[in-house]
Order: sequence, then structure tokens, then C-alpha cells
Amino acid sequence: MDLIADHISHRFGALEVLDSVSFTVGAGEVVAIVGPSGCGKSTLLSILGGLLQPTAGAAELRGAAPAGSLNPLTFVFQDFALLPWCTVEDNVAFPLSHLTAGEQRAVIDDALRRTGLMDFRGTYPKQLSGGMRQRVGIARALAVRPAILLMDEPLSALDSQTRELLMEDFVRLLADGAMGAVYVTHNLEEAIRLADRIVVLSRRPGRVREVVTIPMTRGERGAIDARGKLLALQNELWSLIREEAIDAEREVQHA
Amino acid sequence: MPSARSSMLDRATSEDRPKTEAASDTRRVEFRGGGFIPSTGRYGGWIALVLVIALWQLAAGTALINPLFLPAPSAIARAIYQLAISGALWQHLSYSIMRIGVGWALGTAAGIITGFAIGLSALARSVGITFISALFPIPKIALLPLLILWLGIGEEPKIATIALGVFFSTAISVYSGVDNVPRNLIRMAQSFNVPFPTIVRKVIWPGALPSILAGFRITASVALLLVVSAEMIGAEYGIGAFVLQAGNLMQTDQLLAGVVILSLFGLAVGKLINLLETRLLHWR
Repeated sequence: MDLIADHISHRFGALEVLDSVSFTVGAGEVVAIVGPSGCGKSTLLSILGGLLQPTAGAAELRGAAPAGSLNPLTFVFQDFALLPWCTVEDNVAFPLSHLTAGEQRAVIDDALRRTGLMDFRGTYPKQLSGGMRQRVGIARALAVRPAILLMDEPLSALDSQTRELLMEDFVRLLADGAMGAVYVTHNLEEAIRLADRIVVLSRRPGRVREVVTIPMTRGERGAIDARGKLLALQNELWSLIREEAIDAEREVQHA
Repeated sequence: MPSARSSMLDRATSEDRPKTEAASDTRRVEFRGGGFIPSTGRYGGWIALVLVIALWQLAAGTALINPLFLPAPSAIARAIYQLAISGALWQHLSYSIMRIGVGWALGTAAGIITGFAIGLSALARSVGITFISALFPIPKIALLPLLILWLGIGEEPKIATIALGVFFSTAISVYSGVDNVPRNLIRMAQSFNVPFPTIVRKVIWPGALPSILAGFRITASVALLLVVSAEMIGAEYGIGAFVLQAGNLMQTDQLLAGVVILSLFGLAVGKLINLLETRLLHWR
């Protein structure tokens, strides 16, 4: 199943946030969206996931959802969005209320096993670290067998060591190409490690400035001799964004 | 000499205390982070209460205080005991509890329904907030004569007064609670295509519960205040009627016995709400 951003524009009142953004996320493909602060990355993701109506243009799906997918477009949120009054198990079960108890049990067990949360099923979110909370968010997303994960800066609220561990999890989960992803991030290193393509947005109103294809597989990126190439890519990306990031920062400070 | 495998890291399992030239130069860093975290002692409040009662008793034993104006704590305790064994205490208390119970339950049920409607529907919000803003400030006891006119002189006007007082506070606390449910949780639920009734039941209700229970604490006090006022205006039985009657007869020990009973009742209700909070909000 493909996800298509078709000339998406959006404004909040007089503030123009996105201007005719178009790109396609193919089946099993991981597309990162980067750009200066306030360029409309999260707004774009909300529109792609059907949580916000665009002022113009549309988000479209092409092709059938994979068999057994309960929610083809599934979010992983920056702030985890866990129900604090529910245990880990109940949080993962939350979107599965239409399944029978037996089906729920099987799906939950599978999602908890894939995210290493089997021993935490009766734990409440407040008892977990940030990284473990995000794992619950990922387990909940995996439970509905999505075709495309919509990840809104999923690691930005975490410390650098936890980010590293979760990045390894993302690489592993996306390795078989069964699931695609749109990954919104400020962090160019994360984008380069995870994405097949990177959509670079301009400062507000966000327009597609460039689409960069990463010239190696995710598996190859883990090799030590790939580090130099990845760093060069990161510098190239940064050079695309830097001037606008400075302008955007000044704009935010003067707002 | 470091091995080839660890050549990039200069490693040690611990670091020695840095050597100082002269020990007299060394001094401990002064602790400056104390205070500003007031905590309640476990028995402090009870000890203070006992002390005040003891002082009161001592003062009442001298000729300094006229027992007509302020009877001794022992006299009040005696009055409560006599009320209890005569059966009058239960008679008055049962009337008050019945009025509070029915009035509070009616007002709370209506308040929760209205509060949720205001919190979830644009139409109910625009209409409801206007009415609540206009009617909430009215002292509900002022409506008792009108309610007697409408509902007769039985229990109904007293119960209706309590229900009205409870209703507005409950409705406000419920819709404030609904408004304060984190929007990201609602968006999360929507992103999983969770149906509206399930979002209300599994996200909004538990999310609003802390505010609703805080509202219960307020409405319990409002109900107590209104039952006493209503019983003072037009009732034969009830703690309010008993207190008024004792005051009219200058039986200050009986009057204060009634006040103590009201205080104990309020404390019991507070404890009950604490229990509810512990049970229902254990996740906080």
C-alpha cells in the first residue's frame, strides 16, 4: 500500500504552514521528513494520518492494506500518548477492543514479545522509563499490524543512550520491509540511519526542497566503513538546511 | 601497558581522592538545599487537637469562662452520649443523612450528565455555560422558599435545595475535567479508529475523574452546608433543626454537640472520598 501526499497545503488562520507538498511513500519504504523548526513537519504527518484536514490537496492511499492489518496508518507519538490509568497490557489492548479475548491475547503477546515488554505487562506507565514507555507506544502500534507507521519525532523526548537503543529496535522492526514508515525528525543522523529517502522541507511555509535517496541499504549502514559516507551525507543534508534553520530560529525568537 | 583491544580508552575502575598539598585547605561543601518542603507529621495534628481540648477543659474548670457561652468539652461529650443513648442522635442524623444522600445523588447525577454534555457537545456547551454562569452564583438556600411554594413543605424542597447546590459545582468540575483530558490521548484514540463511546468510556471518563472527585469533595461540603441551612429554616428533625432548637433554648452544650457531630460527619465524608481517590486514582 502506498501513501501519497498530493499537493498538500495548510494554513492555521493567517499563518501558512505548508505549501503544495507532494511525495509518495511506497510499500515497505521508510521516508524521513526533515526541515527547520516550524516548517510544518508534524502538521504534515497529522494530515497524512487523517488527524487534520488540509486546506488544499489531499493525503491518499493506493492499493489494498496488507491482510490482517487493523489500522493501516498508525501513529507512534513523540510524547508516547499512553493511557496512564492502564497497564502496559491494557495500553496495547486499547485499539483491539473489537477482537475476541483470545485474539487479543495472541496479538498482545506477539507485540510485547517483539518489543521486549513481556515482563512489564502489568506495569503502569508512570513506573516505566521514557524508553520503555516509547516501547509500549511501539508495541501498541505493532499490535494493529500497520502498513505504514507515522512516527512524529518518536525519540526526541528520550536521552541519547535510550535513543540509540530504540533506533536499533526501529532498524530491526523495519528490516523485513513488511511495514513502511514516515519518520518526522529534527535529527539528521536518525533520518540517515533509518530512511530510504529523506524529504527536506523548506522553512515555513514548508515546501519540498529536495528528496534525497540514501544510496545504501539499512543493513549496510551499520558497517563501520559506511560511517564516513553517512557522515558526508549528514553534512550535505545539514548544508541544505543550515541557513534556513538559522532564519527559522530567529523567527521563533522574535515571535 | 594497555592491550590492543582497549587502546582507545584510558580505563580505571575508580579514581583516587585527589592529592592536596595541605590538608588544612580542604573543607566540606556546605549544604544549602534545606527547607521549602513542608511535610506533615503523623501525629502532630492530633497532639495539637488534644492540647487545645485540654486547655479548653482547664479553662472551663475555672470561673474564667461562663459555661453558658462556652461549655467544657466534657459537657459536650456528655451531651453527645445522652443524645446517643436516648436515640435522638440517630433520629436527627438519619433525617440529615437521608436528605444529603438523596439530594447529593440527584445533583451529582444531573451534574455529571450536564458536565459531560458541555464537555463534549458544542451546542450543549454554548447553552449550558451561559445558564451555569448565570445561576451558579445564586445562594441556593435563597431559593428554598420558592421551592417550598413549588414542592410543598415536605422533604422535597430541602432535597431539591441540596441537589441544586450540588448540581452546579458538579457540572463545573466535570466539564473542567473533560476539558483537561490531554488532547494527545484523544488524538491517539482517534488515530486508532476507536469509536466515540469507547473514547468517552476509556479515555475521557478516567481522564476527567481526578477533577470529578475533587468536585465531590466540594459538593459534599456544599451539601452539608445546605442541609443544615434548610433544616434550620423548615424541619422538625435533622442536625440543623436540632442545633437551632438547642440555640433557642440556650442549651449550648447540646448546640455544640450538634456542631461536633456535623464536624465528624464532614470528616467521615472526607475520609470516604480519600478512599475513593486511593482506589480509583491509584495510577497517579
